[in-house]
Amino acid sequence: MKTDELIARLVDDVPSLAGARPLPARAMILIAVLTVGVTVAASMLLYGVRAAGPGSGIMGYLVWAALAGLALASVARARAPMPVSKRTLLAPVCALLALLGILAGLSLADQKSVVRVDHVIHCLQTIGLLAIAPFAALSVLMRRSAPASPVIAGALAGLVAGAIGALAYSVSCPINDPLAALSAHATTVLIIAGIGAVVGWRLYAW
Amino acid sequence: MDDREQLWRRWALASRDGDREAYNRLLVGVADRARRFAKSRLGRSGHGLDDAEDIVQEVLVAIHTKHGTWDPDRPIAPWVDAIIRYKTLDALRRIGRRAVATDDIDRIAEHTAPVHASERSGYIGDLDRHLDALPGLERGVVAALGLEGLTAKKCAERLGVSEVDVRVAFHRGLARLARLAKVDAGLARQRAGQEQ
Repeated sequence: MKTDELIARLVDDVPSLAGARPLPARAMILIAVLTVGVTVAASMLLYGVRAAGPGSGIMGYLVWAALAGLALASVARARAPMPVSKRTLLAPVCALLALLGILAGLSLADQKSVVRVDHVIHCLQTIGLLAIAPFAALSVLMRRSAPASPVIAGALAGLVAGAIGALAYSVSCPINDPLAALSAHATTVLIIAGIGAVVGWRLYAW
Repeated sequence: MDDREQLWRRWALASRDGDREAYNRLLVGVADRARRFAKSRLGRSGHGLDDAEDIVQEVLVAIHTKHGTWDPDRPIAPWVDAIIRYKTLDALRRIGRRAVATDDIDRIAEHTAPVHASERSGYIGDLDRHLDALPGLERGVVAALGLEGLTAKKCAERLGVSEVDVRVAFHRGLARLARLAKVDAGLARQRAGQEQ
Protein backbone atom coordinates (compact mmCIF):
# COMPACT_ATOMS: atom_id res chain seq x y z
CA MET A 1 0.00 0.00 0.00
CA LYS A 2 1.28 3.47 -0.83
CA THR A 3 1.60 6.10 1.89
CA ASP A 4 -0.97 8.35 0.20
CA GLU A 5 -3.50 5.51 0.22
CA LEU A 6 -2.79 4.84 3.89
CA ILE A 7 -3.31 8.51 4.74
CA ALA A 8 -6.62 8.47 2.86
CA ARG A 9 -7.77 5.42 4.84
CA LEU A 10 -6.71 6.95 8.16
CA VAL A 11 -8.50 10.17 7.29
CA ASP A 12 -11.65 8.15 6.57
CA ASP A 13 -11.37 6.81 10.11
CA VAL A 14 -11.18 10.27 11.68
CA PRO A 15 -14.42 9.80 13.72
CA SER A 16 -12.57 7.24 15.88
CA LEU A 17 -10.38 10.07 17.23
CA ALA A 18 -13.32 11.82 18.87
CA GLY A 19 -12.82 12.08 22.63
CA ALA A 20 -9.33 10.54 22.50
CA ARG A 21 -7.47 11.66 25.62
CA PRO A 22 -5.01 10.09 28.04
CA LEU A 23 -6.51 8.62 31.20
CA PRO A 24 -6.53 11.46 33.75
CA ALA A 25 -4.33 11.15 36.86
CA ARG A 26 -7.44 11.20 39.09
CA ALA A 27 -8.86 8.14 37.32
CA MET A 28 -5.54 6.34 37.68
CA ILE A 29 -5.46 7.05 41.43
CA LEU A 30 -9.05 5.84 41.79
CA ILE A 31 -8.25 2.61 39.94
CA ALA A 32 -5.14 2.15 42.10
CA VAL A 33 -7.10 2.62 45.34
CA LEU A 34 -9.75 0.18 44.15
CA THR A 35 -7.08 -2.33 43.15
CA VAL A 36 -5.41 -2.04 46.56
CA GLY A 37 -8.77 -2.59 48.25
CA VAL A 38 -9.54 -5.66 46.17
CA THR A 39 -6.03 -7.07 46.73
CA VAL A 40 -6.20 -6.56 50.51
CA ALA A 41 -9.62 -8.25 50.57
CA ALA A 42 -8.24 -11.13 48.49
CA SER A 43 -5.30 -11.52 50.89
CA MET A 44 -7.66 -11.64 53.89
CA LEU A 45 -9.89 -14.19 52.17
CA LEU A 46 -7.07 -16.39 50.88
CA TYR A 47 -4.59 -16.19 53.75
CA GLY A 48 -6.60 -14.92 56.72
CA VAL A 49 -5.71 -12.07 59.06
CA ARG A 50 -2.68 -12.36 61.30
CA ALA A 51 -3.91 -12.21 64.91
CA ALA A 52 -0.71 -10.68 66.31
CA GLY A 53 -0.79 -7.74 63.90
CA PRO A 54 1.37 -7.17 60.86
CA GLY A 55 4.54 -9.26 60.76
CA SER A 56 6.63 -6.44 59.36
CA GLY A 57 5.15 -3.86 61.75
CA ILE A 58 3.32 -0.71 60.79
CA MET A 59 6.46 0.35 58.89
CA GLY A 60 5.80 -2.55 56.55
CA TYR A 61 2.53 -1.00 55.42
CA LEU A 62 4.09 2.42 55.00
CA VAL A 63 7.10 1.15 53.04
CA TRP A 64 4.97 -0.72 50.51
CA ALA A 65 2.31 1.96 50.26
CA ALA A 66 5.03 4.55 49.59
CA LEU A 67 6.78 2.34 47.02
CA ALA A 68 3.51 1.55 45.25
CA GLY A 69 2.62 5.26 45.14
CA LEU A 70 6.04 6.35 43.87
CA ALA A 71 6.18 3.59 41.25
CA LEU A 72 2.61 4.39 40.15
CA ALA A 73 3.58 8.03 39.61
CA SER A 74 6.48 6.79 37.48
CA VAL A 75 4.18 4.46 35.55
CA ALA A 76 1.93 7.44 34.77
CA ARG A 77 4.93 9.23 33.23
CA ALA A 78 6.38 6.13 31.50
CA ARG A 79 3.16 5.35 29.61
CA ALA A 80 3.62 8.32 27.27
CA PRO A 81 5.84 7.87 24.21
CA MET A 82 8.30 10.50 25.48
CA PRO A 83 11.83 9.38 26.40
CA VAL A 84 12.00 8.08 29.98
CA SER A 85 13.63 10.72 32.16
CA LYS A 86 15.91 9.96 35.10
CA ARG A 87 13.34 11.63 37.33
CA THR A 88 10.81 8.98 36.34
CA LEU A 89 13.01 6.28 37.78
CA LEU A 90 14.57 8.21 40.66
CA ALA A 91 11.86 7.75 43.26
CA PRO A 92 11.28 3.99 43.01
CA VAL A 93 14.98 3.25 42.61
CA CYS A 94 15.82 5.36 45.69
CA ALA A 95 13.10 3.61 47.70
CA LEU A 96 14.49 0.21 46.74
CA LEU A 97 18.07 1.27 47.44
CA ALA A 98 17.05 2.55 50.88
CA LEU A 99 15.49 -0.82 51.58
CA LEU A 100 18.57 -2.68 50.44
CA GLY A 101 20.71 -0.23 52.45
CA ILE A 102 18.88 -1.18 55.64
CA LEU A 103 19.58 -4.84 54.96
CA ALA A 104 23.20 -4.18 53.98
CA GLY A 105 23.67 -2.33 57.28
CA LEU A 106 23.02 -5.51 59.23
CA SER A 107 25.86 -7.73 60.41
CA LEU A 108 26.53 -10.86 58.35
CA ALA A 109 25.00 -13.11 61.04
CA ASP A 110 21.87 -10.97 61.14
CA GLN A 111 21.68 -10.95 57.36
CA LYS A 112 21.77 -14.75 57.34
CA SER A 113 18.96 -14.91 59.85
CA VAL A 114 16.69 -12.40 58.10
CA VAL A 115 17.35 -13.24 54.43
CA ARG A 116 15.95 -16.74 54.08
CA VAL A 117 15.23 -18.60 50.88
CA ASP A 118 12.18 -20.40 52.32
CA HIS A 119 10.65 -17.03 53.21
CA VAL A 120 11.25 -15.73 49.69
CA ILE A 121 9.70 -18.85 48.13
CA HIS A 122 6.66 -18.53 50.42
CA CYS A 123 6.30 -14.83 49.60
CA LEU A 124 6.72 -15.45 45.88
CA GLN A 125 3.78 -17.82 46.00
CA THR A 126 1.53 -15.55 48.03
CA ILE A 127 2.54 -12.03 47.00
CA GLY A 128 3.03 -13.24 43.43
CA LEU A 129 -0.56 -14.45 43.33
CA LEU A 130 -1.85 -11.20 44.86
CA ALA A 131 0.16 -9.14 42.37
CA ILE A 132 -1.52 -10.73 39.35
CA ALA A 133 -4.66 -8.56 39.44
CA PRO A 134 -2.85 -5.20 39.84
CA PHE A 135 -0.38 -6.20 37.13
CA ALA A 136 -3.21 -7.20 34.80
CA ALA A 137 -4.94 -3.86 35.40
CA LEU A 138 -1.72 -1.96 34.69
CA SER A 139 -1.08 -4.08 31.61
CA VAL A 140 -4.47 -3.13 30.18
CA LEU A 141 -3.55 0.51 30.76
CA MET A 142 -0.12 0.06 29.21
CA ARG A 143 -1.47 -1.71 26.15
CA ARG A 144 -3.63 1.34 25.52
CA SER A 145 -0.63 3.61 26.04
CA ALA A 146 2.60 4.06 24.09
CA PRO A 147 5.57 3.68 26.44
CA ALA A 148 8.88 4.81 24.93
CA SER A 149 10.55 1.96 26.78
CA PRO A 150 8.31 -1.10 27.17
CA VAL A 151 10.95 -2.78 29.37
CA ILE A 152 11.10 0.07 31.88
CA ALA A 153 7.31 0.45 31.80
CA GLY A 154 6.99 -3.29 32.50
CA ALA A 155 9.48 -3.16 35.36
CA LEU A 156 7.63 -0.22 36.90
CA ALA A 157 4.29 -1.97 36.49
CA GLY A 158 5.81 -5.02 38.18
CA LEU A 159 7.11 -2.81 40.97
CA VAL A 160 3.66 -1.30 41.55
CA ALA A 161 1.95 -4.70 41.41
CA GLY A 162 4.55 -6.28 43.70
CA ALA A 163 4.35 -3.41 46.19
CA ILE A 164 0.53 -3.63 46.24
CA GLY A 165 0.81 -7.39 46.73
CA ALA A 166 3.31 -6.92 49.58
CA LEU A 167 1.13 -4.23 51.15
CA ALA A 168 -1.90 -6.51 51.02
CA TYR A 169 -0.02 -9.55 52.28
CA SER A 170 1.37 -7.61 55.27
CA VAL A 171 -2.09 -8.14 56.78
CA SER A 172 -1.63 -11.91 56.67
CA CYS A 173 2.15 -12.48 56.67
CA PRO A 174 3.13 -15.09 59.29
CA ILE A 175 6.81 -14.03 59.47
CA ASN A 176 7.38 -12.62 62.97
CA ASP A 177 10.65 -10.76 62.54
CA PRO A 178 9.92 -7.39 60.90
CA LEU A 179 13.31 -7.28 59.15
CA ALA A 180 12.92 -10.85 57.87
CA ALA A 181 9.47 -10.00 56.51
CA LEU A 182 10.79 -6.80 54.95
CA SER A 183 13.71 -8.56 53.25
CA ALA A 184 11.55 -11.44 51.95
CA HIS A 185 8.94 -9.02 50.63
CA ALA A 186 11.56 -6.75 49.06
CA THR A 187 13.21 -9.67 47.27
CA THR A 188 9.83 -10.84 46.03
CA VAL A 189 8.91 -7.37 44.79
CA LEU A 190 12.24 -7.14 42.94
CA ILE A 191 11.63 -10.51 41.28
CA ILE A 192 8.12 -9.43 40.24
CA ALA A 193 9.60 -6.22 38.82
CA GLY A 194 12.04 -8.34 36.81
CA ILE A 195 9.23 -10.51 35.50
CA GLY A 196 7.33 -7.29 34.71
CA ALA A 197 10.28 -6.06 32.63
CA VAL A 198 10.24 -9.26 30.55
CA VAL A 199 6.45 -9.16 30.15
CA GLY A 200 6.62 -5.45 29.26
CA TRP A 201 9.24 -6.11 26.61
CA ARG A 202 6.93 -8.61 24.90
CA LEU A 203 3.51 -7.16 25.71
CA TYR A 204 3.84 -3.37 25.80
CA ALA A 205 5.64 -2.89 22.49
CA TRP A 206 3.44 -0.95 20.08
CA MET B 1 5.99 28.25 20.08
CA ASP B 2 7.11 27.59 16.48
CA ASP B 3 4.90 27.40 13.39
CA ARG B 4 4.98 23.63 13.23
CA GLU B 5 3.82 23.28 16.81
CA GLN B 6 1.00 25.79 16.29
CA LEU B 7 -0.18 24.27 13.02
CA TRP B 8 -0.01 20.66 14.22
CA ARG B 9 -1.79 21.51 17.45
CA ARG B 10 -4.58 23.23 15.55
CA TRP B 11 -4.91 20.35 13.08
CA ALA B 12 -4.75 17.67 15.79
CA LEU B 13 -7.45 19.37 17.86
CA ALA B 14 -9.61 19.87 14.76
CA SER B 15 -9.21 16.23 13.76
CA ARG B 16 -10.53 15.18 17.16
CA ASP B 17 -13.62 17.14 16.23
CA GLY B 18 -13.89 15.15 13.00
CA ASP B 19 -12.19 17.62 10.61
CA ARG B 20 -10.90 15.38 7.79
CA GLU B 21 -9.01 18.12 5.96
CA ALA B 22 -7.10 19.07 9.12
CA TYR B 23 -6.26 15.46 9.84
CA ASN B 24 -5.04 14.95 6.27
CA ARG B 25 -2.72 17.96 6.63
CA LEU B 26 -1.43 16.71 9.96
CA LEU B 27 -0.67 13.24 8.58
CA VAL B 28 1.03 14.62 5.47
CA GLY B 29 3.18 16.88 7.67
CA VAL B 30 4.06 14.02 10.01
CA ALA B 31 4.83 11.72 7.05
CA ASP B 32 7.20 14.29 5.60
CA ARG B 33 9.07 14.70 8.89
CA ALA B 34 9.16 10.94 9.52
CA ARG B 35 10.48 10.31 5.99
CA ARG B 36 13.35 12.75 6.44
CA PHE B 37 14.27 11.35 9.86
CA ALA B 38 14.01 7.73 8.72
CA LYS B 39 16.15 8.34 5.63
CA SER B 40 18.79 10.13 7.67
CA ARG B 41 18.94 7.32 10.27
CA LEU B 42 18.89 4.57 7.64
CA GLY B 43 21.66 6.30 5.72
CA ARG B 44 23.76 6.88 8.83
CA SER B 45 23.46 3.26 9.90
CA GLY B 46 24.55 2.06 6.45
CA HIS B 47 21.19 0.58 5.41
CA GLY B 48 19.45 1.20 2.12
CA LEU B 49 16.64 3.73 1.96
CA ASP B 50 14.08 1.18 0.72
CA ASP B 51 12.65 0.73 4.21
CA ALA B 52 12.02 4.46 4.80
CA GLU B 53 8.47 4.32 3.45
CA ASP B 54 7.63 1.32 5.66
CA ILE B 55 8.79 3.33 8.69
CA VAL B 56 6.71 6.33 7.59
CA GLN B 57 3.62 4.12 7.36
CA GLU B 58 4.25 2.61 10.78
CA VAL B 59 4.58 6.11 12.23
CA LEU B 60 1.28 7.16 10.64
CA VAL B 61 -0.54 4.11 11.98
CA ALA B 62 0.91 4.77 15.46
CA ILE B 63 -0.13 8.44 15.29
CA HIS B 64 -3.65 7.23 14.50
CA THR B 65 -3.97 4.36 16.97
CA LYS B 66 -2.12 6.11 19.81
CA HIS B 67 -3.75 9.50 19.27
CA GLY B 68 -5.26 9.23 22.73
CA THR B 69 -1.84 9.33 24.38
CA TRP B 70 -1.35 12.95 23.31
CA ASP B 71 -2.47 15.29 26.07
CA PRO B 72 -3.73 18.58 24.52
CA ASP B 73 -2.33 20.40 27.56
CA ARG B 74 1.17 19.48 26.34
CA PRO B 75 3.00 20.36 23.11
CA ILE B 76 2.31 18.03 20.18
CA ALA B 77 5.64 18.27 18.31
CA PRO B 78 7.72 16.44 20.95
CA TRP B 79 4.99 13.75 21.10
CA VAL B 80 5.13 13.25 17.33
CA ASP B 81 8.95 13.30 17.37
CA ALA B 82 8.98 10.68 20.15
CA ILE B 83 6.75 8.39 18.06
CA ILE B 84 8.92 8.91 14.97
CA ARG B 85 12.06 8.14 17.01
CA TYR B 86 10.51 5.03 18.62
CA LYS B 87 9.25 3.60 15.33
CA THR B 88 12.48 4.38 13.47
CA LEU B 89 14.69 2.78 16.12
CA ASP B 90 12.34 -0.19 16.31
CA ALA B 91 12.59 -0.61 12.52
CA LEU B 92 16.38 -0.23 12.60
CA ARG B 93 16.59 -3.02 15.17
CA ARG B 94 14.39 -5.19 12.97
CA ILE B 95 16.37 -4.39 9.83
CA GLY B 96 19.54 -5.15 11.76
CA ARG B 97 18.16 -8.57 12.66
CA ARG B 98 17.12 -9.08 9.05
CA ALA B 99 20.63 -8.14 7.92
CA VAL B 100 21.97 -10.78 10.29
CA ALA B 101 19.49 -13.26 8.80
CA THR B 102 20.67 -12.31 5.32
CA ASP B 103 24.27 -12.89 6.45
CA ASP B 104 23.17 -16.47 7.03
CA ILE B 105 23.53 -16.94 3.29
CA ASP B 106 27.29 -16.39 3.69
CA ARG B 107 27.32 -18.79 6.58
CA ILE B 108 25.34 -21.29 4.52
CA ALA B 109 27.89 -20.98 1.72
CA GLU B 110 30.71 -21.54 4.22
CA HIS B 111 29.05 -24.55 5.76
CA THR B 112 28.03 -26.10 2.50
CA ALA B 113 31.47 -25.51 0.95
CA PRO B 114 32.57 -29.11 0.45
CA VAL B 115 35.77 -30.41 1.92
CA HIS B 116 37.03 -31.97 -1.30
CA ALA B 117 37.82 -30.20 -4.54
CA SER B 118 35.52 -32.56 -6.38
CA GLU B 119 32.69 -31.56 -4.06
CA ARG B 120 33.59 -27.86 -4.32
CA SER B 121 32.05 -27.61 -7.76
CA GLY B 122 28.88 -29.04 -6.32
CA TYR B 123 28.25 -25.98 -4.12
CA ILE B 124 25.72 -24.47 -6.49
CA GLY B 125 24.17 -27.90 -6.74
CA ASP B 126 23.84 -28.00 -2.94
CA LEU B 127 22.12 -24.64 -2.92
CA ASP B 128 19.78 -25.77 -5.68
CA ARG B 129 19.07 -28.95 -3.74
CA HIS B 130 18.32 -26.96 -0.58
CA LEU B 131 16.16 -24.52 -2.53
CA ASP B 132 14.20 -27.44 -3.97
CA ALA B 133 13.54 -28.62 -0.43
CA LEU B 134 11.78 -25.34 0.44
CA PRO B 135 8.01 -24.99 0.22
CA GLY B 136 6.75 -23.31 -2.98
CA LEU B 137 6.37 -19.67 -1.90
CA GLU B 138 9.57 -19.65 0.17
CA ARG B 139 11.52 -21.17 -2.74
CA GLY B 140 10.17 -18.59 -5.20
CA VAL B 141 10.84 -15.66 -2.88
CA VAL B 142 14.38 -16.70 -1.90
CA ALA B 143 15.27 -17.33 -5.53
CA ALA B 144 13.78 -14.00 -6.66
CA LEU B 145 15.25 -11.85 -3.87
CA GLY B 146 18.44 -13.72 -3.08
CA LEU B 147 19.53 -14.95 -6.50
CA GLU B 148 17.85 -12.68 -9.06
CA GLY B 149 18.15 -9.57 -6.89
CA LEU B 150 14.54 -8.43 -7.33
CA THR B 151 13.01 -5.95 -4.89
CA ALA B 152 10.34 -7.17 -2.46
CA LYS B 153 7.76 -5.14 -4.35
CA LYS B 154 8.59 -6.64 -7.75
CA CYS B 155 8.77 -10.09 -6.24
CA ALA B 156 5.31 -9.59 -4.67
CA GLU B 157 3.89 -8.49 -8.01
CA ARG B 158 5.41 -11.44 -9.81
CA LEU B 159 4.18 -14.01 -7.28
CA GLY B 160 0.81 -12.33 -6.76
CA VAL B 161 1.18 -11.98 -2.98
CA SER B 162 1.59 -9.02 -0.62
CA GLU B 163 4.97 -7.49 0.26
CA VAL B 164 4.48 -8.60 3.86
CA ASP B 165 4.03 -12.20 2.69
CA VAL B 166 7.22 -11.86 0.64
CA ARG B 167 9.22 -10.62 3.64
CA VAL B 168 7.87 -13.33 5.92
CA ALA B 169 8.50 -16.06 3.32
CA PHE B 170 12.03 -14.73 2.73
CA HIS B 171 12.95 -14.89 6.43
CA ARG B 172 11.39 -18.32 6.83
CA GLY B 173 13.12 -19.57 3.69
CA LEU B 174 16.50 -18.32 4.89
CA ALA B 175 16.00 -19.89 8.30
CA ARG B 176 15.11 -23.20 6.66
CA LEU B 177 18.14 -22.98 4.35
CA ALA B 178 20.35 -22.31 7.38
CA ARG B 179 19.00 -25.41 9.11
CA LEU B 180 19.58 -27.55 5.99
CA ALA B 181 23.08 -26.16 5.67
CA LYS B 182 23.82 -26.99 9.30
CA VAL B 183 22.81 -30.60 8.69
CA ASP B 184 25.07 -30.73 5.62
CA ALA B 185 27.95 -29.13 7.49
CA GLY B 186 27.58 -31.72 10.27
CA LEU B 187 27.70 -34.54 7.72
CA ALA B 188 30.73 -32.99 6.00
CA ARG B 189 32.58 -32.70 9.33
CA GLN B 190 31.69 -36.30 10.14
CA ARG B 191 33.06 -37.44 6.76
CA ALA B 192 36.23 -35.41 7.19
CA GLY B 193 36.72 -36.92 10.67
CA GLN B 194 36.32 -40.46 9.33
CA GLU B 195 38.82 -39.84 6.51
CA GLN B 196 41.42 -38.49 8.94
